[in-house]
Amino acid sequence: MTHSFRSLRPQANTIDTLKLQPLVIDQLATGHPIFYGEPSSVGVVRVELFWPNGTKQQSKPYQASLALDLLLSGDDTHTEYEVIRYLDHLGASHSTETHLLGSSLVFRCHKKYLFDVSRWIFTHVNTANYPKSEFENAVMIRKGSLERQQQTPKYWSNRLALESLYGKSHVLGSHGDLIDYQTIQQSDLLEYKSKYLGLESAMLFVSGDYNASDVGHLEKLLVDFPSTGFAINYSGMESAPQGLSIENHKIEHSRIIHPIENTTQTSLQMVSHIEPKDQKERNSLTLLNLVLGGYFGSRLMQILREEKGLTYGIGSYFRPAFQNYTWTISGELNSNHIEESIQCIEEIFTTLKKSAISPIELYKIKQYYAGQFRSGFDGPFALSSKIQNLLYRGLPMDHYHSLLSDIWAISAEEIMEAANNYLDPKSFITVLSGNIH
Amino acid sequence: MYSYNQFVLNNGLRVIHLEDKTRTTIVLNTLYNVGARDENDGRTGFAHLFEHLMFSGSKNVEVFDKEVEEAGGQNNAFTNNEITNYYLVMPKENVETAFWLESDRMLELNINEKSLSVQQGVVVEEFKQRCFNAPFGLLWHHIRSLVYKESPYRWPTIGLNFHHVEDAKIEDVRAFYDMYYCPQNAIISVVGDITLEETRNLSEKWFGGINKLATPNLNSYKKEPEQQERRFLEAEDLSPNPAVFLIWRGPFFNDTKSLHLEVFSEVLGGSDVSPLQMELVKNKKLFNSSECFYLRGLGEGLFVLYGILNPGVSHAEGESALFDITSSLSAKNKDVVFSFDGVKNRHVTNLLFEATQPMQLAQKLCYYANSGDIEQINQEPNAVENLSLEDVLCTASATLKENNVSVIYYHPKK
Repeated sequence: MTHSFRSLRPQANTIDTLKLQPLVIDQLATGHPIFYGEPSSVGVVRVELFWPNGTKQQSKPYQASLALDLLLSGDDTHTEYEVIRYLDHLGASHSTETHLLGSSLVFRCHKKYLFDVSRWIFTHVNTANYPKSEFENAVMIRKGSLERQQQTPKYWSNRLALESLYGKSHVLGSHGDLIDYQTIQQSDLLEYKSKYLGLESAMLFVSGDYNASDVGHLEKLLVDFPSTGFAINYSGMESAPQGLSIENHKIEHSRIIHPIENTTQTSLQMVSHIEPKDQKERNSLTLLNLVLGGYFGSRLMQILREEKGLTYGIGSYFRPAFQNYTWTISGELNSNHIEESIQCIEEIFTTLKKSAISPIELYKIKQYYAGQFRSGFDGPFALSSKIQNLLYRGLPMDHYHSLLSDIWAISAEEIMEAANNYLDPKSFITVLSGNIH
Repeated sequence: MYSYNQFVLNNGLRVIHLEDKTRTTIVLNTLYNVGARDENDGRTGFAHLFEHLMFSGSKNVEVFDKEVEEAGGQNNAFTNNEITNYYLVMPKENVETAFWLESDRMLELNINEKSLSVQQGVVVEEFKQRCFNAPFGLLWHHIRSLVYKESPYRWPTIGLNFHHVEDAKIEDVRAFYDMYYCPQNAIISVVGDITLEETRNLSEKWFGGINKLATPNLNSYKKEPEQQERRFLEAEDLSPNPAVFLIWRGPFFNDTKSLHLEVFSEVLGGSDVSPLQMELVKNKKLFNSSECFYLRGLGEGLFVLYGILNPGVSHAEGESALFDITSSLSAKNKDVVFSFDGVKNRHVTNLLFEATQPMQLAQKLCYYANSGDIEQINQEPNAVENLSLEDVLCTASATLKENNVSVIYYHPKK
């Protein structure tokens, strides 16, 4: 059989539309903000308690994450064993996540158990008092895990990069260490919880297989905890430490070497603090980051991995730094070719600053972005992280509705301009850890 | 219940279709029935290396990833001891691009010295990253070499050592491709907003004409004799905390007893307050981490139980405690009955969540079909609900014995 038709690639359609209902944050009668995902008859429900407080509010390392992780560790009436065991019995699961500006407790269960599970969780979140034994166990488990992480080059390249960029005392640069587990107390957790993790200050997300009566039930559970308001608090932390913004800060002697014995690779981290002027520049930077290292077809992956075989993986991404970003390049490299690898990276910077990307590459990155962006809204449980992203960044609720057309409007010249504004090797701190001398 | 459809093309390719109109993307998943167990012991890591080469372009596709990305899609792959699995997630309006790309690399892969040499370098770096630069990075090397003495399950997917990867020759690559990458040895699944008729038409158009003379892989590897003694290994590791691992061989995927062991592992260690956590970590403080799981493979199963020791606790104490906790679960204990019911509830809830994840579903459909019984995907909730605690504990006590265990003691590297 002839295969000649194969030489003609199938017509690929441009992905430039997103069908999305208006995103609206509603309010319960108790005043709590709530976001309803579109109900779907999937048999299971996801509920999230979201607080506008995270590591920014903590007064010592681990305070925020321990206070959140141990919300279901027991109280005066029930031990942790009893609290978790009941949830286990109903087949429910829960998880927590602490961010810079927010914290989440998510629980998922069969729809038939939503009433029992939510009642149980809300009750114990409210009464949690961090029993001594559970606190000590959590510290023991976390210390063991940190000790193992600290053996890896990647841990040190990441830590030293952020500490060097922002300073050890700034929330964006500070890393807890083993010794911090000796100083944190139960009382620190209670203090954090009473200020920042009360049911009064939470927002809710509900998605999956739920109905109006389920929402009524959640509302009843909150009657005794009327909302005291919900707002992400940026005060005093709008940007990185003074003097770090790219306009007035060029980092000198910016290479840090951290050898670790018995390692066979070198972990690279390059970090720079960037403060985009406006949303348009953010969009240009999003595309620039894709070209640089944001996906498999990026220059970093294509040159360092697919052409030279010097790494299994290298990439670039933006870490949130309040309203701004820490631009990060990260990879585990062949130790015999470190200088060659760094030179390649700098050459990629230079090329992106000197030459506008081709129309073919521009189309490719926009299509890739659009495909991933649109699929991110698929499924009954997709929207809570999207909404949180808007809240974290202070963006309007209709932001996503126009984002695809805004992205498609970005030109190659605008991407090159962003490269010229932000891709300066001197503004990056480079850390090499592991097998390096 | 999943209302999937199946059909077989004239060239032997099996196709599974599941329509989900709620999605904007379509998943095309391709499973090849070949993995590390099909390698010989002088060329380990080859199936995985080959997986990398499948992204090197094909007769009509110069750069595979570029075409995926230009259509707004994404893709990746994984290899294990038994299978190699590739997936493409495409916007539904560009699904034909996925069929074009996947079929073209099945028809005629672009095999050349340059891509082989580059991917050898990439895989060697992957080997170092996974095995040398992470705590317990050589665990699977140690487990497999201890538990298996004769069968090809005795090496991990990444290979016994990276020199095997470096030594691979272009003629080996071509022979491997010709032997295993053919329609008769593959299963594809298509999940998303696409009808059966469209799936049939696209499958016929793009895969139907691939007529490669090869036979399905019969997986006729050397079988491992039963282990009838305790085996022991001591090793040094990057981890500053010593550790004890206990490993047992167990039944394969299609044997109901493999589900027993999976459920047993969840009762024993699947929660923050399960016996492993409560007794050994939180109450007795022997370990700062302890977990267990059952790896349900198509040809072999492995039950793995471990604890990472706290300072002052000896390996022997740790081992003894792990044995004791494993044999302490009894159907007469109310706590165990309560946990067992919870594990069953969670299993069923997780299956419902899984149904909302098209990529997981597409992979699972192929995997179950490759196991020889795709209908298990619909029988699974009932199979879990109908399990009896007595049966689960009976299988566990018959499998997890002291005279068939493999034990590894890890010491911090000096």
